[in-house]
Amino acid sequence: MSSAEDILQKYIDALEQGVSLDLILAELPEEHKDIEPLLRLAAVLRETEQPQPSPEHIRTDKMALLEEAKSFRKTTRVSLSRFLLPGLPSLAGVLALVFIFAIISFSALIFLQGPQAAHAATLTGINGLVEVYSQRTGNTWRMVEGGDQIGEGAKIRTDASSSATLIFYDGSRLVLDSNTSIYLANVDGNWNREMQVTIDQPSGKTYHNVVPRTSKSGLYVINTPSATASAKGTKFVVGVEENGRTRISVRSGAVRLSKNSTAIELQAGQALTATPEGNLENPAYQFTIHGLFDLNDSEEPSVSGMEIEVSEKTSVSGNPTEGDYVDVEGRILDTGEWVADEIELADQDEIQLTFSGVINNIGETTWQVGDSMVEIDENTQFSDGVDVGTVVDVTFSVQEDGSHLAKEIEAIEVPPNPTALPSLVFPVEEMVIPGCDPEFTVAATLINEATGENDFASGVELGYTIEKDDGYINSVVLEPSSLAQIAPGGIVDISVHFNLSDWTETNEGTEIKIRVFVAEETNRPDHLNGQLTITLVSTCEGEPYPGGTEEPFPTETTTPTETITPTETITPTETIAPTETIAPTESITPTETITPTESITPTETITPTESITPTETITAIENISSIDSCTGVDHYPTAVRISRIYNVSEDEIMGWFCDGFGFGEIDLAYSISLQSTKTNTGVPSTGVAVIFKLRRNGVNWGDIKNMVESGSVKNVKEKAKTAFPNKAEKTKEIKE
Amino acid sequence: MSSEADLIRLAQAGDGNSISMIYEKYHTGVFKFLYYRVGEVETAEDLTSEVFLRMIRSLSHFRPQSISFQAWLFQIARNLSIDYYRKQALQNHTALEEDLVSPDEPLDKAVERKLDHLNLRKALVRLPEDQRDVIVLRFIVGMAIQETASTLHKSEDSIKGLQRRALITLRETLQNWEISNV
Repeated sequence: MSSAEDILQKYIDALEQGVSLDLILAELPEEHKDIEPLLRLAAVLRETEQPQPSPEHIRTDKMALLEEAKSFRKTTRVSLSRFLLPGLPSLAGVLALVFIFAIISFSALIFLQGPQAAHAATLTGINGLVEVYSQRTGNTWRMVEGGDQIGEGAKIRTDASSSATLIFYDGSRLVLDSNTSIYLANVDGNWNREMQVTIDQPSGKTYHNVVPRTSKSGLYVINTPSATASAKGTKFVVGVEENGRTRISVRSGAVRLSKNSTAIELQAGQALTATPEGNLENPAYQFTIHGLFDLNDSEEPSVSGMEIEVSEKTSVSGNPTEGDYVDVEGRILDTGEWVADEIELADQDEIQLTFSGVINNIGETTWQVGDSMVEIDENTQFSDGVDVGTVVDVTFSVQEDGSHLAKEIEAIEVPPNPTALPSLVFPVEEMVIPGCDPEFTVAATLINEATGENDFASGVELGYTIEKDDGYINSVVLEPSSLAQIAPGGIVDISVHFNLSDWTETNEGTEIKIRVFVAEETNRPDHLNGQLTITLVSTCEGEPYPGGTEEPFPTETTTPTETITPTETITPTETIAPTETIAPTESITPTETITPTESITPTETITPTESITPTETITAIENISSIDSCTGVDHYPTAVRISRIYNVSEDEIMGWFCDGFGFGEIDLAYSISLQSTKTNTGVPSTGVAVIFKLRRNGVNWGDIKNMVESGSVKNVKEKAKTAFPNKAEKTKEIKE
Repeated sequence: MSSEADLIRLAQAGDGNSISMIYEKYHTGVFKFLYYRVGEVETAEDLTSEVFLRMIRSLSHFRPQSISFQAWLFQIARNLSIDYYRKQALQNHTALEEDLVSPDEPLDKAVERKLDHLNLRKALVRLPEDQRDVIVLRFIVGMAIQETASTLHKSEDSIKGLQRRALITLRETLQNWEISNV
């Protein structure tokens, strides 16, 4: 600290205490005249007119605060002890019995009702303006931020350019597109994760990914003004226009549509439209076209060369004109006509033409899909399972002569192979991830354990449910969430990406829990056992870091000194047995502060001798006693927190910190080490010293994590053992 | 009300009157601080509202023995503004600083050359973030050195150093613009 800064502050203090600037400047000694302009500026800054919040804003702010305060009071817990009055033991006893009885009755009721989480869905993936109307919001529309539990009787609506995702207890998902409103008429479920969901959708577009129902009690129903759609495990889209006209398209599985005692089953690749007045039309295979709108000389418009039928029923939005890029969704009727159901201005300038249908014939150069003929050439791509009878998506281009050339033919649903007996499992079924980051990715592995050469898993769909959350989850993304095929013995890396809100404000120990599971597999649909529970445990300190997502980190004072190297420090106390070689034993006092845990076992971790010279060791040990002074701060809250989480001393954490590792890295290293814990011994198989060593050698954290999880770190240890067969030899080398 | 500690304790219990008094006491300072961070009155107003809502939600976690209430409240404000910037960045918006004025652009010759909040805001944009925060907290909000240090997670000496450097840089900028009263 230079004296110039203190001197300036002294005069600013006087200014702040009300001494006039003129007086201060008059008495300013000659040697301090250089700070005069700074004092003048400070005085001007203090007097500069500042903007003020508007009175209207202040009024509404106060009202909102008082409303919030009211709800705060409502949620304040009432202590039971207030009712158990002192001096009335008999009454207390009776009340206690009543209480116990009530608890038992309540528990029975809860059991019969099913899990609490089954009565609500979690609203996540909020994008733009999304509002909820329910009793909990005081029967008014209230904007939501994500993570809210939405129960039966609630309405949700999205604004323009807005969207949201509802995740149900069984992992089924519903995405609300923009300008959509829905009403949760019924959300219920039992302990077997069988859900009964009924949703009214008066307007807008929703995308559904429904986890297969395994019993008759499972129900997933969407009511629209024109039809009722019920699904038992499928992906489908429901679009409702302002006039109530409804379009339902099925991506996989099947959806049963009903109206006026008529029922139709819509298969994968098919679509259907219905009006409030009319009956259900026949299903037809669908097409989607993204391309250039062309109002050419012919009667019908075309999009990127594909002629489409437009009628008064076609919904047109965005007022597209010739030359615009448009998105078209439609159906291929029995007559061969390509009827456009919806045309809207496209967000992107891209050309892609796709239609669905059943492969009826496979020729040398021409295939028949539905009633359409498509040509194939050497560039055409085919997915697995493409054969006669398969429902496929054909991506194509229109050639000059009007014929269709297939770019890709992809099976929508590969027919099941009943002889294949795949077995999908997550080898690690439970993961506990401590951390404070608002966004991060968890790496998991899915394995097909089956050994038979035909035991392929196909049509694999992954799902997840939120088991525990207090509104912190913004979104969870599984990557990949679907896999066409996993060979016997095949291993697939799955990443689970979390986006959390307000997580950094949580108190240490707050938990979020999700369950990732295999929702669908075609060949062995009754054998969906694979599941993984991920628990996120907050390592944040709610209080010192309120409001945002930045760590309250004293960045200025964290510059680590390069002198202290704990790995090397700790090593010699075990390995260099003869104390006479390292004379200053009195300086090795803080043995309890740097307890050599198993994670820092020298024979396994420290490889070559060059880094373990006695002189270096002595220097380090001398410095250990002044670990606190490496930053000038006695106790770092973050270090205290990490030390408590991993049950190690604060000095051990500060040792790594002073060695140049950030607290985030230290947290990560211990977390990775913990993940390597052998369940039978409870001892980490890979210690933090090894992890830090790898990191210091330039291995990135992702690779370290993978190495620890795959066990390849053990090989590194083995090499170290080979290099140092025993302690004596090592000691000898160090002595030399 | 005997002291701020009592006020906070009552507010923690959900007392509307105490919350209202806290708001009265601090909202202008919070607003000014946010204004100089985000550069727009409306956005600063919205963020100020959010600061106080978050204050109520987090009051139960506030421990006066570890930090002063004012510093804690301004930490909320600072973190919120950081989040705001991040969201803006995610939406591919140009950073507000860049929107406001390019580093080499001189002030409009037509404006009167006296220091007002608009000129000050433009000049502060040229300062590093921590220096800007120190100037605003110390001279606009009127926060003491110790409180400023606590709010910005820095030592008092560090704040004094930043304060001096910030005043020097700010003065140079304003002199280049020929602001008359500095």
